[in-house]
Formats: sequence, structure tokens, C-alpha cells
Amino acid sequence: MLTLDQLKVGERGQIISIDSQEQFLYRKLLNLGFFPGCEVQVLQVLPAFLVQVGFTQMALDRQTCHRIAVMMV
Amino acid sequence: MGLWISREINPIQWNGKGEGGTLVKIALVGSPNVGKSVIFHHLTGQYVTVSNYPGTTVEVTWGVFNGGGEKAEVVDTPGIYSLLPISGEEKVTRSLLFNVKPDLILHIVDAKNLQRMLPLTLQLLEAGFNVVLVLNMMDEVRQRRLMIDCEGLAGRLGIPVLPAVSIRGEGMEELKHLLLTNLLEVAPLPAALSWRLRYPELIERRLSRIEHLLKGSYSITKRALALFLLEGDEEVWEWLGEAEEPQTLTRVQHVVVQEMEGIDYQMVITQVILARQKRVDQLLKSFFDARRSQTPRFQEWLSRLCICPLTGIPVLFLVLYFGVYRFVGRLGAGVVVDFLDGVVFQQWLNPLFTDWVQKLLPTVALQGLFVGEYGILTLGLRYAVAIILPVVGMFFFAFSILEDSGYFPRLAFLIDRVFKVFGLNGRAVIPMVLGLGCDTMATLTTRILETRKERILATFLLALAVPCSAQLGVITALLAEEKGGILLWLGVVLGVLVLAGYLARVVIPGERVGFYIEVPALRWPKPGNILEKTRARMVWYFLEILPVFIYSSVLIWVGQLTGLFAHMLRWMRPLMALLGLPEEAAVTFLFGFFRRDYGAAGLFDLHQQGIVNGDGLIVACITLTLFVPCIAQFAVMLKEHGWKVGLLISGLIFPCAFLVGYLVHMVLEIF
Repeated sequence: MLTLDQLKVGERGQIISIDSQEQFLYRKLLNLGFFPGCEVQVLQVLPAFLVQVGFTQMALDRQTCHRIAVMMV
Repeated sequence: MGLWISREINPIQWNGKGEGGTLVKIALVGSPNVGKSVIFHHLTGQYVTVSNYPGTTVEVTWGVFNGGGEKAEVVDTPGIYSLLPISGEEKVTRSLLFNVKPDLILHIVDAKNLQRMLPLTLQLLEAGFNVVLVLNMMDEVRQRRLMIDCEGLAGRLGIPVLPAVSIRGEGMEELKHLLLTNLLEVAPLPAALSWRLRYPELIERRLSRIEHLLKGSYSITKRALALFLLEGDEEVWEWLGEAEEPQTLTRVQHVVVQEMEGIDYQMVITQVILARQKRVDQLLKSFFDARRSQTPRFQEWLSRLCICPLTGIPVLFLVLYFGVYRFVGRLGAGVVVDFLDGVVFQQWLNPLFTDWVQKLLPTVALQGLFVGEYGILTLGLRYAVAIILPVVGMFFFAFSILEDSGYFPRLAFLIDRVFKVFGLNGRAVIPMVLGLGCDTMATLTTRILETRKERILATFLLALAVPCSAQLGVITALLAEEKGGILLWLGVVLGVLVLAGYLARVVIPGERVGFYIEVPALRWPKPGNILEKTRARMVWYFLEILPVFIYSSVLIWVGQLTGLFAHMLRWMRPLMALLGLPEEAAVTFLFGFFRRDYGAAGLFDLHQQGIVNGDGLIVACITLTLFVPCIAQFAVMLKEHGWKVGLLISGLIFPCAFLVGYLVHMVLEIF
């Protein structure tokens, strides 16, 4: 299973699912726009992940990205 | 984000009744950082009330909209992303909407992210509210060459859609006009149903079953209530409990819990979100055109500069050097303080005060209260106005510029890894940086951190190792003359910060929360915003410090008169000896009990008099920085975390500060 933290700079992914171990995190990410079906592009991977979602940029750390399963686009 | 201070003039009753009892109620709803507050102020002007939602620490702002002789109550709600609440603040917003039942909701959105924001509009419509959609930040839409057809969208949704750029005042007149026509008509806005959506069959069937079972009357639609139930919301059961018979509750429970066997709430939530998003995409088609979009070049370049570690870290150092060291330290603590203290107070005001007081008051003892060595006027007022206020003011000014420009999320991004070493994450950047301005205010800001563990850790580190701007300013000015003084001080304090954080992280129970933060577009800070934020913070600070300086003067006066002061100084002598300092230095630590900045200012005086120099100065600065939190900060700590935590933290810090001071003293002796 490919997760967001495995993508490299410039690559795009479509979100398949979010590891729902922590309900809190899951819903928080959903609210911020990370829901199944939407497309994200990786802008930076150091020191943390910077991704583009729609017209906004989001910063996430590696452990959070690991929870997001994606499909390469 | 910012800390606004309310100007409380006409308090409005909580039950939303107000003076007339039948005022129209308008609620502003939207996610954080979309410009709700600005629009709120456009509608309500000067007179607002900030109060806590009953039973919570969440603040809600109320005001009155005056138009054409008619009045309406306006409430600004805490930011929400969805009507299914996650945080305490979101729960408050929903409760508020449910209990107050506004006649009109202004849904404020970030226009360029309309696709992500429209689902909440649909939720609000589904819940039965009258909604006006305000597309704010249209300037960014234009900058990016996005096209939004507001009228077409309004026709599609069946609700008014207004474009706006609230910080420039664009669209505000149209909004007021719309509200006016509505107030005068009394009738609600026509509710079209063209936005309706259907969820997957499984969910729809359960929804209609529950809708039929519910017999009570509610301020939101039964469909919305049923949806909350199917999504696993627990709070809604309380509302049902008050309005339904027990048998009904059991039947509803059956539909929700038993019949949904094997299907967990997570899945329902996801399906609902997907269905809503699909509907939004359908509704937006041909009214939102992003085909020609481009990112503004300069903004993107500058953002990259700040956020890419290779360039971002140098940028950070530049910001720290110019912003903190030169602006606050040299200009503030140096030039401005020298003038205000050296000239205005020492040369003009102090002699004047002394003269008056000696003429007006009979006894020397009483005179001492006002113009003695620790007098209210000669010391208390002088410290507050001439030494502390300019430094803190300049810090808040620089902080507001950074905050308004959108720099902080980028800083959070850069330092997240570093912060993780001592148990926090990038989100703590705001309290920790604010702590460099005023630790008391920063301790209040720790509320934005999500877990209790993070909040306590941040509070602990703020109390231990983050010097406030007044201290910073004075200390950097003092140590500037010592070779390597500042570097040593910086090194030791940072070292203690990291070590203490690392240990605390291991000891305090709790899980780590992942780091995620939205990084908004950089923008030119607006002078109006900066001045307002700085002014508000300075006023708050001044109202906080002046009383404390006065009490401190009185307490010291009493202490001196009764000989208690001398006792305490004597008691501290061995501690001073431990650090290799003369006994006069004990005074600064005693002062440090009342206000850390008071202590730093005292050290400043001692240095001027030549009593503390060289190595001793460095040791004193280090120990004072690590010393216990000032009274105001201590009070806030107790309020936020309780007596146990507050006393534990302070109790740990006291010996820690002196231990480190001792070690540094020993090391310096060797060299």
C-alpha cells in the first residue's frame, strides 16, 4: 500500500483512505480537505511534508503522512 | 489569529434576547482565518461584548448591527469546518446555533477554496438555516486568475452570494444593504431547494425512518439531527432526551445502533462527505473556473524562500537578528529606554515627584512609599513606563508584523523537528515565540495546543527557559559589553530548554499528536491591523503590569518598614554567594518574584552602579532568565492547569535555576 510519505517532490497522488486508528486525527484531516478522492501534490519533503491541496498548502509531518493511503496519478 | 481585546460597553444578554426581546439574530459562521472578525467589526462597529459560552472557556463575541433605525444582534462564532464537531470550540458553535437559532447565518468563506468550503454551506442549509454566502478574499481569486460567477451560483444554490474583500471594505456596503432589506421585511429569505442532495440509499433509508420517529420540535431539521446520529454524534442524544418520549428514544437507538450493525460511524462519515463533495462539484460546475489559474510569482518565490530549509533558516536568523536583537534589544532596550529612563525619569520626573511628595506628605516613612528607593513613583512607575513598556511594545509590534504576514505557519514547518525533541511540535511556535514577548500572554495561548501533555509541557518550558521581551531587551543590552556573554547566555538557556523538554516529555504521560497546519498565502501586513494588534496587546500588558508594580512597591515598603525585607535579603545571601554574586544582587531576585522584568530592570540598575560586572553579570543573567515565573504568569498557570501542576512547575524551577547558575559560576571560575 502506497502512503503519502512515500511520494517524492513533484509527485501527485489521489487519496484512497486515511488510517482511522485515531478518530480525532481522521476527522481533523477530513475537515482540512484531505478526504478520499481529492488530489494532493508534494511540494517539499524536508524538514516536513508540504503538500498542495486545491489552492491551499498544508504542512504535515512524516508520521501523519504515513496514515494517508494514496494512488499515484 | 490574534488576541483581540473587547471594548465592553453595552452587554447583551446571553439568551439572545437583548433589550427588545425580539431582535433579529444574525450569526457569522465559517472556518478559521477567513476574515470573519473583520466583517463582524464592519457590521457592529465599536461596541462589542466578549463573553464565555456558559460552562466553557470558549469566548464568543456579540454586537449590534444598526441599520435604518432597525437593530439586529450579531454573534461571531468560533471557527468550524463542519457541523459535526471535533474540538471544544466547534461544539460551542453548534450548541450556540442550536440554542440561539439565528434568523440568518452569514457563511463567510475563503473564495478561492470555495470547493472545500461549500460543503459546510450545504450542511447549514440542510439544517434549515437561512444562509447568505459571503465569498471573502476575492482579491486572491483575482490574483490567481480564477473566475467565479456569483450571480450564477446564487441562482443555482437559491441563496444570495456576495463577493467581498473585507480587509479593504469591499462588499461591505452591499452586505449591509442586504441585511437592511431583510430586517425591514421581517420575512425570511426565500428558501430554494435546488441545492438538495441525497446520500447513499442505506443512509437515506435510516434517515427517513428516524425523521418519522421524532415527534419533538427542534431548532434544526430532523434530517440534520438524524444525520448526526448516524455519524456517531453523542451530544445530539441529549437534545433528543429533552424533547422525546423514552419509547421513541429506544426506537431511534435501534435504528442507529442495531440496524447499522457492521457499518461503523467512520464509514458513514466518509460516505456523507463524499456525497456532499460530489454535489458541491456538480453545483459549482460552470460557476467556478480554474482553467486559467496561476500562482502569483513574487508571493510564491517569497514563500519558498521562507519555507525551504536552505534559505528558510537564514531567513529566520535574519528575522531574529533584526527583529529581536536589533529592533527590540538595541533600539528598544537601548535607545528608547535610555531616553525614557535616563532623561525623562531620572532627570525630570523623579526629582519633580520627590519634590511634590515631600511637600504633601508628612512623614518620611510615608514619603518613602512614593518616592523612596523602591517608591511607587520613582521605581514602580519608572520601571513600568520607562523600562518595560517600550521594550514590550516594540516586541509586540514586530510580532504583529510577522503574524499578519502569514510567516508563522512557515516557521512552524521549519522548526517542527526541533520542537519534537523537547516534546512539542511546530504548532507550539505561536506560544513559544509569543513567550519571547510576554510569558503570561503566551501561557494563555497554549490553549491552541491540542493535547493536555503539550499544553503542560509548553507551559513548563515557558516558565523555565523563555525570557520575556523586557528581560530579553535588558539582558541583551547588559551582556553586549561582555565578550561572548550573549553567546554563553544563549547557549546555556537553549541547552536547559532542550534538556528540560526532553526529560519532561518522557515524564509527562500522554501521546504525541501529529503535526498538521494550513500554510496560508503570504501577504503584505496591513498597517491598520498591525497598529491595532500592537495597541491591543500593549493595553492589556499595561493594565497587567502597572498594578503589579504598584503592589510590589507597597509590599516592599511594608517589608522594609517591618524589617522583613532585610530578613529576606539576608536569607538569600548564601544563595548569592553560591553564584559568586554580591549580596546586593539578592534584590533583583526578590524583585524577580514579583515580575521577571522587574528583576531584569533591577539588574540593569545594579550594573549602572557598577555593583555587578563581568562573570557575575553573566551568571546573574542566566539564573534570572531561568528563575521562577512572575506573579501574573503564575496566576495564569494556576487558572489553566490547577494548583498541583502550577506549584510543581514552580517548585522544580527554583532549585533548577540556582543549580545551573552555580554550575556556570564554577565553570567560569575555572577559566
